[in-house]
Amino acid sequence: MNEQTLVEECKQGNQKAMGDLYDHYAPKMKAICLRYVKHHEEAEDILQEAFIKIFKNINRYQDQKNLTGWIKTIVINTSINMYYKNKNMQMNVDYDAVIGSEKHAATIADQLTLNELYDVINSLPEGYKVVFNLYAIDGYDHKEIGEMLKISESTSRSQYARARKVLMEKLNQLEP
Amino acid sequence: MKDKKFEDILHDRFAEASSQPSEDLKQRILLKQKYGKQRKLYELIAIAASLSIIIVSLLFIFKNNDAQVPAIEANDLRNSDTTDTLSNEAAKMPIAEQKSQLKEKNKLQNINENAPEWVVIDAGATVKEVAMPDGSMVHLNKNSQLQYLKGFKKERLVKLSGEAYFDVVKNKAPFIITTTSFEVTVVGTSFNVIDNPEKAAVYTVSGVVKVEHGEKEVTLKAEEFCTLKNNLLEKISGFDKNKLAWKTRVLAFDQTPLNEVLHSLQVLHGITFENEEYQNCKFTGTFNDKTLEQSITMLEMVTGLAFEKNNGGYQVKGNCR
Repeated sequence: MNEQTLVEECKQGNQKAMGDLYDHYAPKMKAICLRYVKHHEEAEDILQEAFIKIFKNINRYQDQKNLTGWIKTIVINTSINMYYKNKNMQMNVDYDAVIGSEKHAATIADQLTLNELYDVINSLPEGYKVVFNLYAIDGYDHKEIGEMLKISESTSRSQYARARKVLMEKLNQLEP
Repeated sequence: MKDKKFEDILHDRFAEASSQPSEDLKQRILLKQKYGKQRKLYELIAIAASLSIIIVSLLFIFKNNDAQVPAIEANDLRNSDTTDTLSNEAAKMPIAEQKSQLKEKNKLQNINENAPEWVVIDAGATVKEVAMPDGSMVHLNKNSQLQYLKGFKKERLVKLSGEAYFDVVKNKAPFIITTTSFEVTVVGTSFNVIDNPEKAAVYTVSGVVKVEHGEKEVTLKAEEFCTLKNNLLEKISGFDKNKLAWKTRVLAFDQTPLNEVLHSLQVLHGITFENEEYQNCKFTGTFNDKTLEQSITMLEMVTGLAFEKNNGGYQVKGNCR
């Protein structure tokens, strides 16, 4: 069944189609949640909330080209609404460690296992983690991030710059 | 590859990532989705009554707590009364669907276009008394969440998950309560609603209530209730006021089997009784705002049974008088 037919069936309330849509997207979406929250239980709470919203609003999905993007947006927004909104995103970690080379960090990022990468991301302070996830991995710009987290665009920028440094240092401390 | 920034590498690595959710999650979601949709048909319209103050109690008991909006316990208690959240990203989605009912349509537009702000109140671990902007009072049961739309003038819109008891001040603006399952419109009367996966029921405390489900409707007078069974409305007389004990703190029994008495105490005080069968044991009496210990003492005196404390509850021993 192609994507468009699947969506149409879901709009009709077809349980089988909804199940298929879930089967297709849930594992990838859970992988996204796990970058925002550390534990599987929390990730699945988000997933549940998000899929209920997805099915509830599937009638409003009109853009026939980017279902993945639409679903992903709901999942990420749900993560943020559940865990980050209105939290103080400012993390002033004093920072004077030797960062090490960016190139080395890149090599390590390439060689670590995915599980290890999740651990690195989740070891970041929450404010850094969410901004880094949104900007570097999920592709939002700082203006959008500011709106999502209710912080200013410049705060998002500076948070990202710091997050990047901390992450780079963490990577450089690891040996794959 | 060697020219890539480390965050680009991370981006690519995570793009491949997937993690299989636990097996029961799919069923939970589908069930909830189906259940929620079905209940949208289930609508209550209250007929105007002559009361100037109306009392409404709503019980929305979900079998799993997962229907609940996650608690905002991260905020400290001082602020939790007035934490503003703008809930749904549905606001960012195109409005395509035309709702047949004008009322519903207006509400949708209200929610989507004016980007209203919801004031969120979490009861946390205790029953909380909340004053609404119009002077209505709400008792919010433990672990329940209430949200109301800022402004609260033209339409009094309230969202509820969990359980609440409403003292609604009557005025021209309809008082509308929505849950994930369904919607209750209050004009002026008193009633009580229970809604969980096994049972959906409306209890009328006073006044007259019209309950609609699809094409069917029933009218309920004081102390009558109806249930939704196999998708059919069924009217029954007799209202168990003990169901409101979490708010009234009153439990009254009249020749009630002990098992039922213990069950009521269990629900009210959140404890457990390890009891054997006490089928023939009946109890008559009223616990009026009594602590658990006071209630137990009274039970012991009346029944002649012994209640021994064990971890988190009581063991019931002896023979009934």
